[in-house]
Amino acid sequence: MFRARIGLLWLLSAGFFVSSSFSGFAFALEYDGVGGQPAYFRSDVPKSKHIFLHTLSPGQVQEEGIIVHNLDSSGSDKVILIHGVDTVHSSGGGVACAQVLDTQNEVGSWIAFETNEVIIPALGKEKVPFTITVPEGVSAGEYNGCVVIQEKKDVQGSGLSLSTRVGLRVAITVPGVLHREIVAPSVVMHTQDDGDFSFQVSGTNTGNVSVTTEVSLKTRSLITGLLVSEQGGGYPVYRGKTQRWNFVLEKPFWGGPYLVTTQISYGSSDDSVYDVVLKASNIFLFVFPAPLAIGIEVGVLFLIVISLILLRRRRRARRARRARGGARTTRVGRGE
Amino acid sequence: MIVIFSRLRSFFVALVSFLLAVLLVVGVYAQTANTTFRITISAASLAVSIVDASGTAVDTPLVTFGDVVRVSDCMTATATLGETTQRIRVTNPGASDSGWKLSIAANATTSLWESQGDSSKQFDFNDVGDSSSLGCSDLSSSGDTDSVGGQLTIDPSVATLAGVNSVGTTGISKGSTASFAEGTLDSIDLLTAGSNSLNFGAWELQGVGLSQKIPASQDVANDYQLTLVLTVTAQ
Repeated sequence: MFRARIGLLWLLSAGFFVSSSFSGFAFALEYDGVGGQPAYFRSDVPKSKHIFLHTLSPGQVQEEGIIVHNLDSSGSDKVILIHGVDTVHSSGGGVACAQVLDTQNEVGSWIAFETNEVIIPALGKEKVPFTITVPEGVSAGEYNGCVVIQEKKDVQGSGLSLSTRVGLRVAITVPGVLHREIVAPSVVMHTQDDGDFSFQVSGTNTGNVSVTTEVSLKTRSLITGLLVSEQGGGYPVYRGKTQRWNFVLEKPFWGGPYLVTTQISYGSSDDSVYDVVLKASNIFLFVFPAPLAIGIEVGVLFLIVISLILLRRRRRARRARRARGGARTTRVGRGE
Repeated sequence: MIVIFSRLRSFFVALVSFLLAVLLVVGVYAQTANTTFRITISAASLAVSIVDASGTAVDTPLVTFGDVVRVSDCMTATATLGETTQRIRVTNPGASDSGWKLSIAANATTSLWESQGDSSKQFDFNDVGDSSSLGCSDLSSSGDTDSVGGQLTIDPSVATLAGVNSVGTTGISKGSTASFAEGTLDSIDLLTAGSNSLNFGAWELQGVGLSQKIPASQDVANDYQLTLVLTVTAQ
């Protein structure tokens, strides 16, 4: 009891000192650049915290706003450009934000900012209002665009100059007959140069709205029955697009036969959660063990064989001893 | 008697240590008694930047291709996007918990590689080209709007993705190799993060492969330039 009290006193003094020493520090992830977020969050639409989501009829106008941030901690003002743009085809089968210099024909042309340029001080922010106007005659379905934010900079030097920007998806659903369907789930496997395996999973959205899918790729050992890898995640598939996702399976160290199963799940309506499950063809995979694994496996096998041989010899010797002992007993019993 | 003495000694040593710790802290606070602490925590926002090895933003990031000697055949220049000194860093401080995408595109689909000294010297980055010229000549029938050939291929599959401060990369997948084609493929995915990726963290991409086909006998110049835009988009 006495020792416990002394221990508590030690702990108190140490804890008091440590906590006091660190109270002046704040741990934060530092980064520079520009950023933005929707100005109006609707609690009934959780995604509205990060992207612009609206259901608008043809001819309807939606008032919106974006909070633009200057994330630069160095203390300099930034001139930030803000624009609405269309989406363009992207290599993964989906879409990406179009460029400001390109002609905007769809959602990009529906977005109108009061100003496309703001000057924001370091670590400052400003709300920039804009409107989304859906033109007359637009058919039912989902239409995607982006609001992009970029620092105004002069390009210098020769070669490939890089600039960066942040995009926030704008998804406008025009009411009517909305169709949600993903078809043709497939998976293709390739062996990489480093011996690892890459899998490309794909699914096609034949509906007229984007669908949030849950992709799962599981690899199970056929010897142990254990799950050696589980990959995937939740990804949107835009209307009319075949989306592709890449996953890499590190070459299993021990080798052996494996079964790779793939499925894509999604909700058949806004309310349902992943009630439709599509399965791609299973892939049977035989992996040659790593050299070290072969060494270990051969070593273990060698030890097992040696142990069995020794065990057998021991049993034989014991049996022989017993046989000799039995014969002696018989001789003693006979009085020889 | 010895036991009691030993326990009392331990008790006094602990008590003195505690008092010293209190005095030290009180002393520190006494010196800064009039200081007002103020912390500003900026609202979360997804961001992409080019940073050096120490994490400092690179002001004018630039990728330089290896020199190419002018020949009468199709030429190929290669480079790496995301060198050690120019890493592509995506930061998600809880700004997009349903995932994000990092893509790359030229600043306009009609952009061209252009000599800074002579704007008449140009070649393309998104022309699929004529197969007979190994994809180096202009092929307007493919939907390309200009009259010069050339195509840029980007291969993020060979790149290395790592989390800053050992943040996990679960749910983030690298894109496949792809070549720009005007009107057909105007943007190339470098990274796609699903809803199961970490909502708070920063990730760096290094070693994206670049390969540019240059038309045969292209005009000599040492200042060809093209601007590419890296976009991180909340999904």
